[in-house]
Amino acid sequence: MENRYKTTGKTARSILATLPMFLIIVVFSTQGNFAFADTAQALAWIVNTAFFTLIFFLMLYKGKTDRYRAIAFGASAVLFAVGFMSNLIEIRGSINYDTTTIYNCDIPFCHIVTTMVIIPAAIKQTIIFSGSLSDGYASISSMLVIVFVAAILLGRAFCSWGCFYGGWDDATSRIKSRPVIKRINQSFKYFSFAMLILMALWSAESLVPQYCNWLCPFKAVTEGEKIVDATTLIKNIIFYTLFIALCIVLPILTKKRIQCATFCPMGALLSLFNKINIFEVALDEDKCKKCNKCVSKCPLMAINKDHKPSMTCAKCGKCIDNCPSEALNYRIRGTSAKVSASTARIIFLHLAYSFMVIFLGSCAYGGLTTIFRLIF
Amino acid sequence: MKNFISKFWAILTVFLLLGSFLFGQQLQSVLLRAPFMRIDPSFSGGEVERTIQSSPYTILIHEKVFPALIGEGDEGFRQITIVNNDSTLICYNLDNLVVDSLTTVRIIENKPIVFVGGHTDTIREVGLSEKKLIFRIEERK
Repeated sequence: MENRYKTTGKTARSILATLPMFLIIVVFSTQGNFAFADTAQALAWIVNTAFFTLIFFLMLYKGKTDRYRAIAFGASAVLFAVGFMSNLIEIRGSINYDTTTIYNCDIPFCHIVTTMVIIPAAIKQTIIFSGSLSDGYASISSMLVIVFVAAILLGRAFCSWGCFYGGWDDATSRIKSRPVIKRINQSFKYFSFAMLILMALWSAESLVPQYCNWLCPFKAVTEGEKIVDATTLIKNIIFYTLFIALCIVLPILTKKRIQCATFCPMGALLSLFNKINIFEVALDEDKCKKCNKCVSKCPLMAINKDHKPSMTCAKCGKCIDNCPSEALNYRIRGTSAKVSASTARIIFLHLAYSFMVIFLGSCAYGGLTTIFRLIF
Repeated sequence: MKNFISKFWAILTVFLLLGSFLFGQQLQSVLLRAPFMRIDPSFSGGEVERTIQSSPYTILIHEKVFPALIGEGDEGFRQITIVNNDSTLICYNLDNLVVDSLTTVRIIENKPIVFVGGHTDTIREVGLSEKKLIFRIEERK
């Protein structure tokens, strides 16, 4: 009988805590306007709202963060790709860009470009990107505002809660139950900082965002450069090869988010903001049994050998979910780990998941609408 | 006290996040006023130096651009944008159009662009859409 009361109480508490999130999803996805363009859009909205609400409820009810976050994160990445490509086809008739698209400044701005525009913006007072400053789809100003807010409020948690690319290698890293390649040098995680410096300097010197120009694996699932000559052919081969290697094959073999951990300059930049972020994953050394589970499970190789999360932690919650002694927990900086673990988790989840449902939720909504329109 | 301030700030971040999405437009307009918020001329083509009306086309002659991180480089370009003011497709038998006495542009239907005159080999990267024809002429200091 006592157990039944406990379960009912837990369910009621979880529903109550989910209600504000449900309202956030409804308000931001509809903007107060429930007039849908067609049945497909209405259906997409219902599915999207139910899905994101259910995921948040399960996080609270089951007490597991990463398990449910990963479902929403992976689904959002796939649906973003669908929505993005259909949007491009609608706007400019093709998912490929060419010289015309560049000269017309019609390329959507993505957060990774931020790492490459900083130096020219500071020295030359210009943005080295062929996009629209304020109009159209994914304008430079709208994305810069989002990046700024994410950097200050989430730090590198953006990489696990807000990035519309991160879901790809996060999902593929979960395909196998055990890694085929078990020993990976933890210092590989610092390669992303080398990428950040290299891309920032190369782009500043050439006044071209070179990561987008030559190395972005996600061109394979967003927009590719139209093949018109040998150079554009080579670029496309590089884009697809990197996507297959870094976002599919290596994550499957290692169970690590290889692209995000080692290759993404944006991840490195956001790691620097982790230092000023109010939330962190903290270790209670008294509880830690030094089992090394957190070190082996961390998909970003962010946990040091002393079992403390490093600055590259993306706060996905995988180590917390897997720690057998509950030694790792979300923590609000400046508070004691023992006192505030559950409070910190609840507040952090509201923050990070709000970002996810508003930012990624809109991408998923667009993708779902496209899919339903194709079906019906 | 430190505990209270930390928790207060943590809760405040949730509201700051919601506020930043609610007032995203306002934040964008503040950002747009920043001095660095302009597209680099190597992408935008630079400021328009002269406009020629040649019905149904408007020809925009951009200023010369010599891209470099600091100062100006030795090699650059001048962009010429031909905007079609009609609803019809651009490039219909517009013959012998002299653009800024730099080159002669001959545009023939179904063959997007043919350059005649002395500067044919210096023209690079032609962009053609329904309403716009953009090309760049190499320039040296």
